[in-house]
Parts: sequence; structure tokens; C-alpha cells
Amino acid sequence: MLGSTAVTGIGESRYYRAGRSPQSAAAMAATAVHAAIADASLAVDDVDGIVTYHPDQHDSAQLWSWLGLGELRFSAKAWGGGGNSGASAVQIADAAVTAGYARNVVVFRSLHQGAEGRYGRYNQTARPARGDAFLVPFGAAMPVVKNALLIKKFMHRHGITQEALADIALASYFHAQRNPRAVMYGKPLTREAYHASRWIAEPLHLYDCCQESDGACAVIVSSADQAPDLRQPPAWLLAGATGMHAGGGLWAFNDTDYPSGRLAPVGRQLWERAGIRPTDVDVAQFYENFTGSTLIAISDIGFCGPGEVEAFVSGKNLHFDGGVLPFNTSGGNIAEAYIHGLQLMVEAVRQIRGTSTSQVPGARLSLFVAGPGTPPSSAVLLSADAP
Amino acid sequence: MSQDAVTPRYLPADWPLPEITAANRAFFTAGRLTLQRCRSCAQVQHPPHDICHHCQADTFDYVAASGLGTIDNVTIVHHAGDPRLADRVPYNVVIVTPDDHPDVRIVGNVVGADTVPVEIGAIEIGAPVRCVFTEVPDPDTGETLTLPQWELDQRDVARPVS
Repeated sequence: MLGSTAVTGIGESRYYRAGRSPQSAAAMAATAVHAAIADASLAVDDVDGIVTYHPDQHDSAQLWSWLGLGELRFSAKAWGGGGNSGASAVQIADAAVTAGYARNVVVFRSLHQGAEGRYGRYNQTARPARGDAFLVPFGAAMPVVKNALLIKKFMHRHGITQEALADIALASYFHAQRNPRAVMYGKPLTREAYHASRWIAEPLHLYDCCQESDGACAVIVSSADQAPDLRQPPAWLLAGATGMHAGGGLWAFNDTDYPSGRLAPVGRQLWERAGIRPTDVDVAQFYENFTGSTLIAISDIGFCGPGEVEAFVSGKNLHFDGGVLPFNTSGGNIAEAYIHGLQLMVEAVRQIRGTSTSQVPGARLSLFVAGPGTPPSSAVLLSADAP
Repeated sequence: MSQDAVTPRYLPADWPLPEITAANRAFFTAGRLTLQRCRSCAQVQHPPHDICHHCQADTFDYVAASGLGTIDNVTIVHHAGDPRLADRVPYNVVIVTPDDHPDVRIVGNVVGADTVPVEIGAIEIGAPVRCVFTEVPDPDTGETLTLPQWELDQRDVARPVS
């Protein structure tokens, strides 16, 4: 929180299309975590805590030991669905360091969708239970179907056209063409190609969907007292927020405030804690599992009203070079890689350091929003200036 | 057509059926549209669950609804995402609000003997629908399941859907 912690290290494996990584998830995690430790100029034994999210395939004791790390003093996992917890995991690390339970907490995510199963597919044989019993038997099984319904309703209610979805995809691909790490580097997208691409689930075309990827990334959250002595300029953690409104977790589209992204409270908490307004933000990374999710998140979190979001994202408004809100400047889940959104956090840190391949000139405030997807959602705000 | 009209399964025979529990048995076996009502606070909630989301009591009645509803939302799925659906795309998924319980949202499919609609325009938000049922044996117990599905209905409705 304000003044107590900073992100001091970032690390990544190479990013691949699902099934293409020659390394296991554990090996990629090792690459990313040790790269982050080295980037921070910390010693391996200085790292004393670990946080991840999602039902990750490793437990913390195993992974910590496989990575050759030292005495473990803090371990936690964000509780909730999918990529919505990416910023929540960073907030948990921040809380642990602020409380003094650890001094350097690594937040990581590693996926090998080739081995684990592609996230875009269903492929389950057990009979669906709980809320899924009211979705899966009717074909609302794959994530894209559920998201298509939410996005369709949001667009219908607020008069949003397909062009707004195209604008999100085009901005993502535009930035990916400048990022050699991006899986879609060298594969530019035109508006015509967007519209000509096949439907996945209406209103979502192929290019509205995030990639399925293999890869790992990590960030290190350190106590403020260490930051001046470390190699990299600190990305100060101004504020984090995790939440949703009352009733946001009810099943099968019976959540309250449907069709929102359920992250308005995350925005309110974030702006209040950081003491800034949305218009103060210089650059933002949004967890876009699907293009339309970002439209919902932009309005939910307070950049504009839902009826204004199409104009807000139109043209070059999301571009790094002069846009109103430079967005997903590494290409994001759609065009860089889908490391469950944590690679967006890495990019948010690069914007503070001035090292993005689509660097926003003079960026001082850098936002990462994880949501709407499956609540609770989360967000963190980074500052180049010591609070 | 009456509410107990039976329609063939919309998705393939090997596509998953719900796990039947005490809370959801009425919805999936009653053969008419049936919703869960809390015995303590009388609130209707959907999907049915072990506890009331309003008052946290855990005893319920199961009440019949008219079966008349309105399309709240629709998508047409073109990409299978599972080998069992490969020969079934495109298919529709809708959300229906029962006219007598407009705060409840029920996920299902629009079915119809001669209109398997593949264009999103064929199923419009706000269109009136009527509940019909797919009868299918529970693969584990043999019990007859009755999956609520929906047919487009020609009656006039004036309930706007935003």
C-alpha cells in the first residue's frame, strides 16, 4: 500500500502457443522466478514468500523446494476464479510485506496448457454440479459461451456495436507488432480481417478471444526500505483492491447488477486508497479474456459510463502514442500471450521503468485491472514516484 | 402447446447431464417449470441451492411457474470447444426470464421442430417463449430427467427487455 512496498523485479519465460513449450510448467516457473530475483538484484535467500492464484497444478511447498528457494515465511493463494485474481495475488503480497510477515514475496503464474488442457475447451466428463448444472447441459460450457452472453447483453443494453470490440482487438494487435516477445508479433490485424474472421460465439469473433498459451512470469514485491538499494527503479505500489458488489457471486447469470462486470467496487476502493482519479492514469493493462470484457471493465472501474465506452475506445484512443488511455501495450492476452493475465502486471511494471516496447512517454501512474470474468475481481495501481 | 410438451434433446446424447441433488431435483425432474422458494422468507431463488441467499434458511418449497417467459439474452455458438459438440454447431444458448418471476434468469436453448435457428436475428431479445421439456433417462439412476427448454411463442407480449 501507499509507501510500504514496491515491485522490484520482473521475470518471464519465453511465451508459446498452447502445447508448444518444450519446458514443463515447473521449469518455466523456475525460469521466470529466478529471472525476477536476478532482475531485482536480490539474493535467492532474500525471497521469503510466494503467492499465486487459480487451482495451480503445484502446491507452494513443492514448487518452493523445486526452485531451490530458502526459508519460507509467507505463502498464500488468491481465492477466486481464474485471471480475475492476478492483481489480487499482488495485493496479497503487498499486504504480507506491509504487515512485516515477509520482505520479498514472489508472485508467479505458470501454465502449460499443452499438458494441463486448453482453457478454451470443455472436455470434462463428470456430470456438472452446483452452478454448472444450470449452464453446461445447455451448452454454456466453454468460457467463451458464458462471456459471449454477458458481453451480448451489455452491448444490447448500452447500444454498443461490433466496432467497439474490433477497436480492442486492433489496439492489442497494434501493440503486439512492436513487441518481439508477443506470440502475434509479425502478424498485424486489420479491421477488415477482424470482421471477416469466423464467429466463435456471437458477438465474439476469433480475434475477440484471448490466446491459449504456455509460459510463466513473476514479479517480486519488496518492502520499501530495500527499494533504493536495488538495481531497478521501484514501481511503487500505490493501492490494490479485490472485490465485487453484494450478490456478485450468484450462479448462472443470477448475480445482482447483471450485466455488469461486478468490479465497480474494485474501482471505488482503488481510487480512494490511491487518492487519484481515473483520468490521472497514464497507462492501463486490462485482463481481456475477451475483447468485450474490457469494455465492461473500463466502464465498471470508472473511466466512463457504459453508454460512453464505444467512443472511449474508438480510433487510436487506446494506442500508446497519444491515446486517451494507452491499453495493453505489450499486446495483452489477445496478442502477446495468455499467462493468465499476470504478464499484464509485468508490462505495467515496464511502463513505470520506461522499458515497454510501446512505452507511454512520461508514464508515472500504471494500472493493472483483472476482471470481469469470474469474480471477485482485482486491480493494482503502480507509481513511478515514491509516495 | 402445453407446458408438458416433450422435445428431443437439443444437444447430442453424450453431452453432459446435470448431477441431480436434493436442491435441484425438482427443477430437473418435475416435468413443469419449477422454482425453489424459501420456506422461511418466501423468496424465490434460482438456481436452487442448499441455503437461501436472502435469509440463509435451508428448507424450501418447490413452486410451479407458468412456463411463459421472455428471451433476455442469446448467443449462437459456432466453435465446438469440445469434440462432442463438433457435429452440433452452430447452436443457440439463451437466457429466459419467466414472466411470473422476472427477476429469475434461466439458461436454456430455443428448440423447435422446423426452426433450428442459426442466425442470431432469428432469436431476438424480448421474444416471447414457452417452456417445453426434453425427457432423458438419468445415465446413473435411470430416473427420468425433464430438462426445461424453450419454444418461440406467437403470443403478444408487451414486456420490454433492455
